[in-house]
Amino acid sequence: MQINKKLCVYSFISVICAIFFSISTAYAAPDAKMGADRHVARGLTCQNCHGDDMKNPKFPEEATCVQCHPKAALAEKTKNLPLANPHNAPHNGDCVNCHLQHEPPENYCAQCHKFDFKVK
Amino acid sequence: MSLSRRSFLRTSTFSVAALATAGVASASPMPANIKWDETCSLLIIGSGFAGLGAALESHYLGMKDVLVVDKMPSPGGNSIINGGAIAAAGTDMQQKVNIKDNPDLLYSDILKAGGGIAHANLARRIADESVSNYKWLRDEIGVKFKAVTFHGGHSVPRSHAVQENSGAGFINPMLAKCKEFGIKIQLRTKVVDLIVNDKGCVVGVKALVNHRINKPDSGKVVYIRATKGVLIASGGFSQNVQMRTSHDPRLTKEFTSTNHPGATGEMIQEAQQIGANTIHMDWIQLGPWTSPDESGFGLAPLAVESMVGYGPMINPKTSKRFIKETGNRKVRADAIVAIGAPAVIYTTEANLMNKVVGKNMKQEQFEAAMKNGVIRKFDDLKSLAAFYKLDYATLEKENEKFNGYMKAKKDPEFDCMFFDDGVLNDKGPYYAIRLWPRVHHTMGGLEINEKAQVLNVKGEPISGLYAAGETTGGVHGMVRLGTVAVADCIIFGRIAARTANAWGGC
Repeated sequence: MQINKKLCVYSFISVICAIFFSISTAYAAPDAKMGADRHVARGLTCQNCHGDDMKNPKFPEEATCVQCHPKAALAEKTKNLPLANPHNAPHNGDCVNCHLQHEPPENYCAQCHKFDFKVK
Repeated sequence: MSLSRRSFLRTSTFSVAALATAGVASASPMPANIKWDETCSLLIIGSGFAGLGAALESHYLGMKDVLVVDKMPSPGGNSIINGGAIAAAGTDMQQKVNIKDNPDLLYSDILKAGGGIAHANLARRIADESVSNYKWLRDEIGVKFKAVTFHGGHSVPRSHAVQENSGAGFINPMLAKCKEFGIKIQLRTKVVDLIVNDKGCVVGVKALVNHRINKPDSGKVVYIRATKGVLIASGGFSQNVQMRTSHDPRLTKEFTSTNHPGATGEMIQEAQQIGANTIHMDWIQLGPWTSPDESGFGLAPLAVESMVGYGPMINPKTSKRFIKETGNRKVRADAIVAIGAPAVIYTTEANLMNKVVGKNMKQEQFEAAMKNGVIRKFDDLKSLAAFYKLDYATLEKENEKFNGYMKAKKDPEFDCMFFDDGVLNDKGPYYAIRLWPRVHHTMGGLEINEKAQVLNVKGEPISGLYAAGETTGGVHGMVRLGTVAVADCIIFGRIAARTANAWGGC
């Protein structure tokens, strides 16, 4: 790929900014809209999901999410969805593929499937 | 990101950007005073069959600090959505059901389907190692096999299906083993440059970490030193419309693909930038068994591949058969595309229950396919004809003829293969599927030798650079036979690990 190095630098900085901005909005927003805002409103901190070293924040793994959101319970909740149960996926079932926390959630499955999930 | 913030950053980071631009030229020259952020032994790009095969083999060889990177947010690449079967010639499972097979027969099948352009030395490795590879997966990795199935173009049934009927049945146990062995798999990490030293040796990569696949330049730049070299195991380019139309202009974006969205082939391009040779790039396979009633690979292929030889495939415009149902993928896909409308394949309930449900397709998958209209059930041939707007009288005649051929085990019209356990299609209910091809596999790619070393345009190995799986070309030639790619990926991934292990570095 012809990678534009300038863009790399910009996007690196923008990622840092985005993290910083989202942390600040997460704390500030009274009208909680993003997943992270809802988590913060319930008393969670950035470190709960991203690890202690906030200079190098980690992406949360499935193991992080299932501490509070056991997968079996989620699968039970969505078992009657038509076509497929997203919480019992045979592949690519990692939580944050769909449940993005600092931006609106996405239906990751829809890249390949005609599954009309409304992701919260 | 908003424009205003972007332009603000542009000015404020001008000096940094200017520094970073030095040495932009291409993937090749090693930037002076490069600061490695991280060091590993073998760096594996991609976490599919080839990448994980290499990672696990390197563990068994005693290599430490192997790093697997993948640009996607989930591991497994295209492999995890694969059909879930691997070719092996001469196994105990085949013996149990009286299938006579051996490596020579697999080798000659690969070369025959490859139309004379497959590289014999590569095909030979797959044929010779298919059984030991199957045993390795079963005994070391814990893959659970359940049935031997037939795929078009093979001389005998030799596709060993996993219990899950999905590539996840290989990938998940492989991932579990990686975890057990402490092999690091770093997701959302996209390699953007191969870094070559002054001796022409690949010494590491430049990558973006915390990269987001749908945000092209996202992530933080890191430099990773790879002391045992770099393995490109990042799959094919079926989803890269620019790349595939440059080699085969017919395959425009109107042809969708069975592949996961990450199958975009950038690593092939990166390797080309440092002088790697590519071969067979215009041999791009369409899958003849995908259904227009679902997207992607879907469920239809699981059923269709076990229906061929058990029921006729019908041209919707003539209501007649038109091609050898058990023919290879190219023969079938080209014939359907030439018709210009989805073909229909059907068989009786007896054949579907004997050969498909519980064999090549799980009960839940069958139910899902029925529910979403991919597989349809008809009480009799008349209602099937009515639904697909076929001429009933013509279809009835074709059906009778096909039954006659099945009985005689000989098809004078199209040379379809028949099997001993086939049941005549003489009474309903019938199950039918519509078929329209999708871009499925790129046979071409980087040229490698039988040690999985990438060759440069002059045919010499590039030091420290290996490739395995769909990212390579040459193994299959014109047509890849079903389930041979899984063998190709895992076998050559493992070979690459052995080559890297033996390599002294530079």
